[in-house]
Amino acid sequence: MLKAIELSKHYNGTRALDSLDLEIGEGEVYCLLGANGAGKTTTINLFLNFVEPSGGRALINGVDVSEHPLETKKYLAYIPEQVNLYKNLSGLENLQYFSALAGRDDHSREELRGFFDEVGLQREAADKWVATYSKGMRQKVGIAIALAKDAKALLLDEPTSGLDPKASNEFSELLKKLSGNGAAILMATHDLFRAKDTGTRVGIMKHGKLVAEMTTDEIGHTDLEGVYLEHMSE
Amino acid sequence: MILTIAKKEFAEMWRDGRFRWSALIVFLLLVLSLSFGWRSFSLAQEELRAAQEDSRRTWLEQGNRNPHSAAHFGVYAFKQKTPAALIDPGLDAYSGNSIWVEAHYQNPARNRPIEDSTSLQRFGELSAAGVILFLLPLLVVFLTFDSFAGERERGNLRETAASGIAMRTLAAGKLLGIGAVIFILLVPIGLLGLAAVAFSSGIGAVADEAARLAAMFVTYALYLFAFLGLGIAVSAWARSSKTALVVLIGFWVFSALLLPRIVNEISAVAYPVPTAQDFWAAVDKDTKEGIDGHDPQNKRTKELEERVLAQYGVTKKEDLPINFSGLSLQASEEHANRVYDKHYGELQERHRGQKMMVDLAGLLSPLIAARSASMGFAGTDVHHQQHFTGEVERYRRDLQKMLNEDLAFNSTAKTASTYAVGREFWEKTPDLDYQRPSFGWVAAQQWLSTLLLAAWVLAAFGAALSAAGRTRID
Repeated sequence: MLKAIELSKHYNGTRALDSLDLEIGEGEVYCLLGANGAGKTTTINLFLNFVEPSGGRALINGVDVSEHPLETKKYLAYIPEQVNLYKNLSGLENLQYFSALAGRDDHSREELRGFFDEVGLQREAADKWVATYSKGMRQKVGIAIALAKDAKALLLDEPTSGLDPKASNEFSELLKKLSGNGAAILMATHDLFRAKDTGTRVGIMKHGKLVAEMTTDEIGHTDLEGVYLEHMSE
Repeated sequence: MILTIAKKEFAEMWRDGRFRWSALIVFLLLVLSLSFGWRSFSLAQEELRAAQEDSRRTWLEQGNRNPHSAAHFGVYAFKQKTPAALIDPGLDAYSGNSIWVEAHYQNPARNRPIEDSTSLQRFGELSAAGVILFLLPLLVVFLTFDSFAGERERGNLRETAASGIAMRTLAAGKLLGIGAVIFILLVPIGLLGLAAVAFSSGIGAVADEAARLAAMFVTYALYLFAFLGLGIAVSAWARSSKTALVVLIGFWVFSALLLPRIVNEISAVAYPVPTAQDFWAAVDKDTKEGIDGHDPQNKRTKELEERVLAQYGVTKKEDLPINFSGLSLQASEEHANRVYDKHYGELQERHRGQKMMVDLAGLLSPLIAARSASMGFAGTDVHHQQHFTGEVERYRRDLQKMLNEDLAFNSTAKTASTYAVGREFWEKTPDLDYQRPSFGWVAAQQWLSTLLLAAWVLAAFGAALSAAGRTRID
């Protein structure tokens, strides 16, 4: 579903991303680990076509994102560290707006409320302005948007940083549910525990390169930390 | 899709407390300026109407008099205020609103309100047009400067772009949504203006007045839409909302404050007008020496005398069955008319040249184009002033001719010194009933400014769409 072929990005000679090859299939949760500046966000930006690749290709559902920047976005949902919603619109209005932008203006209000139920947001919160929402609630609206859009691929950029453990756990459960429904998920994160817990595969990035890749089945949590630190210290 | 975006922009703006407060303040300012305009309009209208009636009454009740003596006594012509002027008083404060209609002289319009006003009023009359032309664009700037740049800074733009919407579509939605907000701000203003004008003009004149008002409304809408497009274009182009705000305020300062003054100065240098002293000296010279300098007054009179004597077959003026001095007066009046046509013609030509130059500067400043159209439709620009002075002069010439011919053909040299006419005759003289030019006349003049405004809107909207297409997401 998500595929990078020798994907590269240079900024004035520095290599933000260096020949990344990556393939994430349906139902997979791929966690990208790495220090700040390792190229995780660049990878996500390239899949979103927010930046032009210096080399290689990024494909979503087999479609090149730089050739069809609008079409490829129909398949994906994007959840950043802080889901930026419109503050003086209600959660429901934000959900309605963003799903309409994605071409899904066919949801009834009741269906939209149903997505809120699904992500565990209280119904009375749906009609309150987003300005009053906690960070966890906003991230849940982000998931609800992905659900309403029926996204086949999710790009997550440190979505759980700053969430309290309970909210973080709820978020992970939602991700599992989404991947259970067949979504391909690419998540950049610093949270090794979440990566091990939610991810099906883990990749470690350093200086724009993917330096290690493993499935979470074959590694314990403490081992993951060990492998990570080992790569960082090199 | 565009409609969805427009609705969201509209809802967001409407709920924004800052917007509501600034819209309220602007709205109150408009109501205030309209009521000022209304007050000064109704005062002036009453005064001017009363003065016009007074002048006629005095003329009718001047008693028995020699017609030429009456011609020197004269009447006054007053330029009545028009209802649309309560929205845009334009040049009314600077152009005279009364003309003394007398023998021999085409007097300039006098009684300029600015001469009687305090320095505070000189600083600027608070007019509805002033609020709309100078302050509303600032409100539009505040509504638009962060439409793209701010969303980029707050991260909303990434979410929006990630949902698979083209940035051009987003810009189109914003144009429509914020445009609707501006339109809704303008509608109550339009209704208030219409009500004020309907009340003050009586039902009869409403058709022409309504056309002018509608044209003013369209002018203001186009003007603000030009700023709307520019605001969104700059916001999409700028790296930060701060930059966008500075650029937009800079454009406002340049186009609304600096350029109009600069262009006024340049036009005054390009089309200099003589001082009143030089003007009247030149008129005097041509009157005495003839327009070409080879046709002095005494020669003209002599020729006329010979012609008239030959016509009646007599040798002495005293033997004429008519009063020669009446004919002579009319002849000198007609000569003077040619002199005035030449000198006032040149002067007005220069005023029109200045005006054309300023109008063309509308290419660089939407304010200039909008102000010109606004004054034009309100009937307070230089064209309307020239129309007024032209009509009054035509009236003066007809009146002088009537008086001189009465003197010439109803008296003789012997009876001239005691000849007098009374009320019966005065009643026969026409009353000045100045009618403002029709809407069609105005429309024919305002095509350039209107076209420039429309071009501004098209260019600004085009710039908004193209800048949005190239806007950075990060």
